[in-house]
Amino acid sequence: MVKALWRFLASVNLSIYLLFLIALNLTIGAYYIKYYPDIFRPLNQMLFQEWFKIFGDGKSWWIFSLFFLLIFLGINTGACTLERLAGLWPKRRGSAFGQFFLKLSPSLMHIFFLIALFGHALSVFTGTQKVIPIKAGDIISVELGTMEVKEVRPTFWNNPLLKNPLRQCEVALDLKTASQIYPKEISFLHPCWFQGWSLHLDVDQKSKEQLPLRIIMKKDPGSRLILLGGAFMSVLMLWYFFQLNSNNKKD
Amino acid sequence: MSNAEISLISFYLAFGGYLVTFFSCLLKKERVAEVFFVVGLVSHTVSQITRGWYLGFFFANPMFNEISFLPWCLAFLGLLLLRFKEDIRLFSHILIPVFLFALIALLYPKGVLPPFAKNQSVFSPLFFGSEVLAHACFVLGAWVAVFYVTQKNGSRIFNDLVIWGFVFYSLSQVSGAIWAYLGWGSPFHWADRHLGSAAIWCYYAAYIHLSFVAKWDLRRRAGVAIAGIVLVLVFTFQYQLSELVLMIGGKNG
Repeated sequence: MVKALWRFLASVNLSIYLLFLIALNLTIGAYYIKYYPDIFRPLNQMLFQEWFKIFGDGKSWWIFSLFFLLIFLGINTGACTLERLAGLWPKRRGSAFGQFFLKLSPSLMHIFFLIALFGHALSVFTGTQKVIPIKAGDIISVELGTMEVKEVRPTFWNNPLLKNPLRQCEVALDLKTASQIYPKEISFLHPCWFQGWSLHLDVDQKSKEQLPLRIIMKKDPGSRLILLGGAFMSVLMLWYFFQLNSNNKKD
Repeated sequence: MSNAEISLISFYLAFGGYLVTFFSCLLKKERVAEVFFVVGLVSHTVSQITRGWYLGFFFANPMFNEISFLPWCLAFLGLLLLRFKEDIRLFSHILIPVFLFALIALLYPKGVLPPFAKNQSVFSPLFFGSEVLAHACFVLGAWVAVFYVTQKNGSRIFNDLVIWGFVFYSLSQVSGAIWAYLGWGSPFHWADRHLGSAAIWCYYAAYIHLSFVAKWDLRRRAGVAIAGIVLVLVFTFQYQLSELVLMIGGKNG
């Protein structure tokens, strides 16, 4: 009974059907978000459990089916990887390191995929986010103390065709904790990190103000796992298929 | 002559090159077809590069705009296949999607999407470039798969194309995630664009795993490669059309 269950959970057939179902579920979800943005876009600013209390209704069924399928895929990937590693590990002395690493690579890719998947789960269910409108001279009370906006230095594209010519903006901040002042500088795409928080400069596209700047302040333990897992998986995949191609040519 | 005009004229020349190639193939003049195909690709390359200076200053993203970069990628992949696989039968197959997508680019409103403060990152063109290259692999893979299913001696190369498409697509997703994290603080957003991309990734991840199951022989996999293209084209053109209102520097600019 236990063996049969394990075989079912570690089966590649199950992975294939789950991935096809997830693709279908995501496609349906994409259209729900497209046609009901007022319901689903707030998910980007709040944790799932908080969002569900306010917006959860019949239209959110696809998120639950997605979570169910992803959990199932995580278990399936873990079981597949364990089974493969268990078969591969005893053979490690029989082949050169390069050859063994090539055989090991698919399992490593699956482990990195699991890390990224776990990171997504952390992002959806834990962490904190605040969006704070700012202008030069503001002193804002935040969780880590106070944040003073010392200086705002915008630069613009010099082209009459551009309706919104804002090119870059540097913002000098002083982050004050109970004991110390930390001067920091952020600009678009160049966030700063401080005591587990990341501060990203943003601009409010809907505002009619001339320079509607705001800071996205995030504490998201999942982000780094998503990025690291995804990056290692993709680079390893590139190397793996390149090696396979080269080996096929030699044969 | 402005960079925008050079870009447009070289694209018209490229289209002319593809058109002559198409008719040369119909007349079975393979050598002429190959020469004009290369001429078309070189002009197309010039057009894509000059798109980077379309607005009078350098901005990389327009070089990788899906509508014009997709036919370039298809033509480039076609040339690679011809050189490395040396399978001349593939040439006439490959030419049709190149011509078709170049025709779409020809008819599509000209212009470029303007830069904004948050796409001044190397990860942004890296994302678009690798995503379009992946789409080209999926499109060409599906197209060659059609001949594999319908002909007795069809080429098996479609499988390699789809696999490499998946590799490039994974790299594009990572570049996009880094870009989104730096700019908006989160590598993933609950947005139709992100969910659509994840759906395509999962579909082709399933395709990659099919080779480990005996009942999914190459003919069945060809069917999956062909079906996948619906997902790619629907999501791709949906975003392109939604971005049309933002375009500047062209007929509608």
